[in-house]
Amino acid sequence: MLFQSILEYDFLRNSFLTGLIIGIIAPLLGVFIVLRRQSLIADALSHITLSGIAASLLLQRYVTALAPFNPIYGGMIFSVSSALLIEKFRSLYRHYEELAIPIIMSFGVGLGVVFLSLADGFNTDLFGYLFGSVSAVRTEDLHLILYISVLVMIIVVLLFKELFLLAFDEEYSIVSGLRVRAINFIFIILVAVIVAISMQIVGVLLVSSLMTLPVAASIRLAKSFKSAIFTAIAFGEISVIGGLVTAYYFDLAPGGTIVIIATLLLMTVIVHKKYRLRYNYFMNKKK
Amino acid sequence: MKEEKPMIAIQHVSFSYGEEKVLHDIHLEIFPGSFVGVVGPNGGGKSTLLKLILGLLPLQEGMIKIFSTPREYFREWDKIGYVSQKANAFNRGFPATVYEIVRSGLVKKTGLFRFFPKDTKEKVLNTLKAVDMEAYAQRNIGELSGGQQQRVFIARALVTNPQILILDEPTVGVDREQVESFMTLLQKLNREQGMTVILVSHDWQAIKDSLTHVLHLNRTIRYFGDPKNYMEKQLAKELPLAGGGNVVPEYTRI
Repeated sequence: MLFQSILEYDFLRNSFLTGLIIGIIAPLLGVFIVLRRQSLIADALSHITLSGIAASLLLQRYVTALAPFNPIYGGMIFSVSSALLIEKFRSLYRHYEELAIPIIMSFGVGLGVVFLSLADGFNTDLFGYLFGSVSAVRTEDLHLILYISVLVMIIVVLLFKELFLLAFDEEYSIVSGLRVRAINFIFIILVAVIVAISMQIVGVLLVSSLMTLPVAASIRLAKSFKSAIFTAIAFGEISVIGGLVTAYYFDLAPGGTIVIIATLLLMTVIVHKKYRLRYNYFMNKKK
Repeated sequence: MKEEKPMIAIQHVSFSYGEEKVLHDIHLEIFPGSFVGVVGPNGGGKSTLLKLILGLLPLQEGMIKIFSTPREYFREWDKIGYVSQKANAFNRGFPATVYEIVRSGLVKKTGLFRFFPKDTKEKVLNTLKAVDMEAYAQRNIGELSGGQQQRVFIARALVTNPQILILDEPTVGVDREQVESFMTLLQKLNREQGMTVILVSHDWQAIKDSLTHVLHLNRTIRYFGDPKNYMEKQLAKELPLAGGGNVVPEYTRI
């Protein structure tokens, strides 16, 4: 029945396709983010995306010509500019690099709340932006998301070996003569863009979870970097599809259902690993 | 006097962290085929000197030339292999195989926006063979013992066929037996392949037989030269291993 609806209704088809794309790209970037211990960056960027959306809503009230544009564009502009700011703060506070994240995060929320009050935007639209929506994606948005995701994926593939080296050993990357700052800079922009486009499905508040939870599960299982990436993507896809289906049937916000499924997957992996270790220990003892 | 050009020339280099001067007027040259052991007390500037050579710290005073090129203009970093002190402290939960890690030594040589060339697999496996780790290629790095991990990091440094190998306390946390076989490996690289090795270590007993030169640093050069002479000076109590004592007047050019 759901599949029939997907075929029948554009908005539903768009949401599912968007979900499938995000289910690949978010965990792909997430592997590098988690392994570089930057998990909170996606959070900071998603909060600033909220203020970008609020700014767009405000502008749309006064400039009617902007009304047809999806506030996602405003979100993206804010997200990318604050990604650059985060990099700047990280070099300013060399010994407190993580400080950049709360600075941007609180500023993002503060600014967002002010804009939303001014735009009188505390309505059902906002609920969708905060927690995701099954029906938020128009065909032109889907195209935009598809183009951006393909571009991001090409860049990640082209920079794959450099990103791996940076994630594993930053000092060695510098000694190798790698242009570490330039690569960091490109990477954080990719994250900012993906955070902004994922927000439509997962919602601002939960977008970072799709970059971290599938990865948290995959790195407990994977022996190689390649398998860590593929497993994370598989977990990402299961969470997105499962989450969207559940959200559709029970009329829930997909951000929540996606995150709950991703968390359940993570818990299953943790429990499985624990019992497998015990089993192996027991079997070895028996021998 | 040797006719060859020095591989590394350090010319009147001084370095301070804030107010604290860690290195003062360091001046020495390292020639091809040397095996230099860098010793001295903690805080004596051993790691700082390596970091200055490798470009991990900015030069404040003096000049460093690598293969006759000032460090700022030196680009052929694949000619230098580096195994850091931190190699021991990497994230053990990192999902990567031995093969993937050794291959990452070829990243810079391969070039930006390019895929690893076809002969990469052969190169990586041959390097792993040279350090006796071929059988572990597909194992997760976190599953190996400290000594085995160290060999993997050596392999990563060797995979580009470097002419100089620089190691910063590579055997910390590795047991005695493995340290010995590790030193045998370094000696082999130095004597059979003519690789220049610069090794920072606290473990004088473990390294002393492999060295061609000793560099004793305690903010200044306390000694640079022959290991035999160094041991004699130590016996004569002219030069204790850690701090204090008499300063050897001038640097020695070898």
